[in-house]
Amino acid sequence: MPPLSQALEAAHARRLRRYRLVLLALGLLLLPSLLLALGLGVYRITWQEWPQVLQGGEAYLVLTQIRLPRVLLAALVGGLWGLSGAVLQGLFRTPLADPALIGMGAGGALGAALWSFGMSGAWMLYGLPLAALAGTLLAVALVWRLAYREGQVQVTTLILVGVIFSTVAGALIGLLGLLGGEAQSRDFTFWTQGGFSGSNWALVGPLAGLGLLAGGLLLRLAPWLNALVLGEREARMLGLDVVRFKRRALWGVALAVGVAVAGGGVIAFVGLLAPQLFRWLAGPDHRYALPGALLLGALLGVWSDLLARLLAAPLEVPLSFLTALVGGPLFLWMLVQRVRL
Amino acid sequence: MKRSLVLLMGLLSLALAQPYRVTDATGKEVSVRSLERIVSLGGGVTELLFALGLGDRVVARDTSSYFPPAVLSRPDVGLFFRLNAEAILAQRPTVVFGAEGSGPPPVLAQLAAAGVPVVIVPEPSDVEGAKRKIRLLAQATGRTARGEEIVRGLERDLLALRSKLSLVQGKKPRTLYIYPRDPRNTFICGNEASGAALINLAGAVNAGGAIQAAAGLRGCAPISAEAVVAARPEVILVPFFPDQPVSLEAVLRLPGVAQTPAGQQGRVVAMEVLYLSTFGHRVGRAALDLHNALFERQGFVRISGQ
Amino acid sequence: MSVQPPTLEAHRLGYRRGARWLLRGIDLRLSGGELAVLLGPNGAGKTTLLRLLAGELHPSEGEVRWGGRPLGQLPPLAQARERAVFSQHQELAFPFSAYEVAFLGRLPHLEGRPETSHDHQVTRQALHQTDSAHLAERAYPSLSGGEAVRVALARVLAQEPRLLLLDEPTNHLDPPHQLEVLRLLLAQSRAGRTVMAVLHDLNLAALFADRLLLLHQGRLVADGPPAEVLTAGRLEAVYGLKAAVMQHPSGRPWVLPLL
Repeated sequence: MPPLSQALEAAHARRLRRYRLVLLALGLLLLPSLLLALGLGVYRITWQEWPQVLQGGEAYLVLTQIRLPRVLLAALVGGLWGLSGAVLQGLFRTPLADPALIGMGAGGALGAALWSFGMSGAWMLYGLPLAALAGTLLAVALVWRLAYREGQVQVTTLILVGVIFSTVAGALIGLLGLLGGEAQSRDFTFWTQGGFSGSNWALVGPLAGLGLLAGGLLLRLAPWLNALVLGEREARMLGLDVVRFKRRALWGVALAVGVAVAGGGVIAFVGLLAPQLFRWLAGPDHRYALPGALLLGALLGVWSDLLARLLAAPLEVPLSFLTALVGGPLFLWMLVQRVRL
Repeated sequence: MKRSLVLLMGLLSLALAQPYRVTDATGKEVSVRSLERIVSLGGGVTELLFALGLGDRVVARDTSSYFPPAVLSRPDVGLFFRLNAEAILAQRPTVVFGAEGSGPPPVLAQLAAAGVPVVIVPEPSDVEGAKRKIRLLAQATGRTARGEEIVRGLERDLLALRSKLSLVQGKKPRTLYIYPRDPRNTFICGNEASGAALINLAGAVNAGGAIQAAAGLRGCAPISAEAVVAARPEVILVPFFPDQPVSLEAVLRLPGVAQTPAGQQGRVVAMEVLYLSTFGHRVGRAALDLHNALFERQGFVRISGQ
Repeated sequence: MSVQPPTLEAHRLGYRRGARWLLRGIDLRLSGGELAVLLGPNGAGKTTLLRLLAGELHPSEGEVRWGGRPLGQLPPLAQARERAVFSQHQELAFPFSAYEVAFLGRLPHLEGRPETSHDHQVTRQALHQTDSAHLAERAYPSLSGGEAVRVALARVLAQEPRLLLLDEPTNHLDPPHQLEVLRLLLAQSRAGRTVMAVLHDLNLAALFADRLLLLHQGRLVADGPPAEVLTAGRLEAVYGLKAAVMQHPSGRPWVLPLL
């Protein structure tokens, strides 16, 4: 092989190695993070106590019924936000896309608000995640319907309709707050701040199933997201059925975000930050960036929840504050470094 | 003789080992085995536990519990309606007493699954309800005798109140309860947070009644300045929180207030929030204090619960 | 090549937007082995015709056939395996390397199977052919206009299409590179591919094309070898250009605009 070809091959191999290394590192970080989050908490269980604890008793209950579902949910929700953010950024061809941008967060919140103020008691609680999920799906359906014109869906139209929808939804939520009772208003406000405090298996089980489904749907989109980076016309000429693809991607993201909002409320920044972090660490190839954003999101979820539980123990810091307080400056720093995101 | 003594001791120990059984506010039958370590959720519940003499057994409380001041030294496990099971279990409680509205339900279920009995105590809005609440908690803690003492104390306060009311000549002051949520808007509340209950108990007229009925308020909402003036209150009643200063000027700046008779005469009564809104063992005294402030005092009056 | 490559045909092709006809009554027939160049003044409909031939737009009238079958009706992936389109390059939102961009040309062939060293070989060769191999590890958004064009061409070549359609592939290129690209396209056609390019430079077209198709106000007014098509009279009629048509040393016509 002529020397230039060899150089090309070597460069390609280096690039591949970097992608794989970063993914591997992220994957290897996940299990220890989960274990750490499982082991730490306001209920003191020292590492020496673990063998006895695993045989039963109150500490065992805390571990298996309280912490384990919570930690797994934090990983699931974080991962879904990260993956959704990555897919949307590829779909909209901008590193600034966030699942909340096209009305998804607002849809979930509105669904949750309608349910909170309409129902009461136990019904209210158990139905809330479902209502948030339904709200997200309906919002996406509505936004898609409004943006679909002449067999096409323009990205800018989609964003515009989404922004309008978010604004209207926000106003409706405010109105509901006025009409509703003081207790419900307060409950809903705290729900919107995000968090995993009441996690239990009855919630986590079904959400995990749906979340895995959404994850599977989205991960398969990676190669064609690479093509979309060239532009929709180019992607079509490369063989992509663009409208169908957009629909699949959007619904996949809607399901993922719906599950995430149902599990932990609207959590800021993870969807925006996780994909950008991965691109900064490794590169923009979606075949690696999608699973990478998923892993990074899961890590962010687990660690933020851990901090939320420990920083002001026994009180809990609302999760959204934490992710914004950490994510905001991190994002700013990346911008200042003029990193190519 | 020895045998009967042994029998007596046996019965006594049996009685002592007997758990206290009570049907709580959710209708559940709960058995309380031990009062060694109590977690108390809800300001009203906490103050009642202390009144029952169990204050030293309270190992942790929620954010809304700040009376009596001794309880502030106990760790705060969070908001009573948004609990975190682990934080409570970390206190190794033997029983949890929570005000109605404690939750979310899955967390209470987690506590129960861990073997910790949870007694939900009602949040009444009238005097009879207050007595039931005192008796329920007394029964759940095996302090029935003390409970009855407290109820009798309450009844004495109410008797004193009744005699004052019977002596009232002239008009009852129109009193408007304003919730100071926002310094730029006048918030009036409906139903649960209305303050109407105590105003009525103190023998005054609830000036907010017409507004509450007209707006069908369930929560608290900003009311137009005109509606405030139309209510013609002679006294404004505001709750204050222990760590927040309350100023006459701030109240008078609220939309519509300055134009009311109350505003023009600077008649504002600020009452500490727990003392004002809890229907518990102190409600008789609270009503008396409020009555005195409304009928016998002028200008700016501050009622704290001490 | 033992198998006869498919022909690209257009029958009575027309395209309308609203009430306005952008193209009307286009008949043409292209086979493998020849390099065809589409010429015409701005607004004549060149890009529209290219998009119709590519299967991107659906004709309002008539049809486009590739190997006897209507191309536009095939599923997008099947289309992409047959034909590749080069159009004006766009802004890339993410910092892919030039190599990765060129490699995207393999996508239509990667469906349902993992990538192999053959795919990378094809990509490398395409980069060599467009003289952009040394740019491979540069970030594509950082390339100059001309460099980006050559990498985009590499992508199109990596797609290994039987039909190559190019919209102004010589824009932004300096003269030596322009000649190289056209030599490349000629070689591709000689290798059996059906190649059609839209050019705006008459002389470049005349030097390399086997056939020139001249569009004027949505109609095909000439179709044939350069010497036949490029006459002074026709140039004046279509372009409003007064020119003298000389003979280039190669024997091809050479248009000299007269002042």
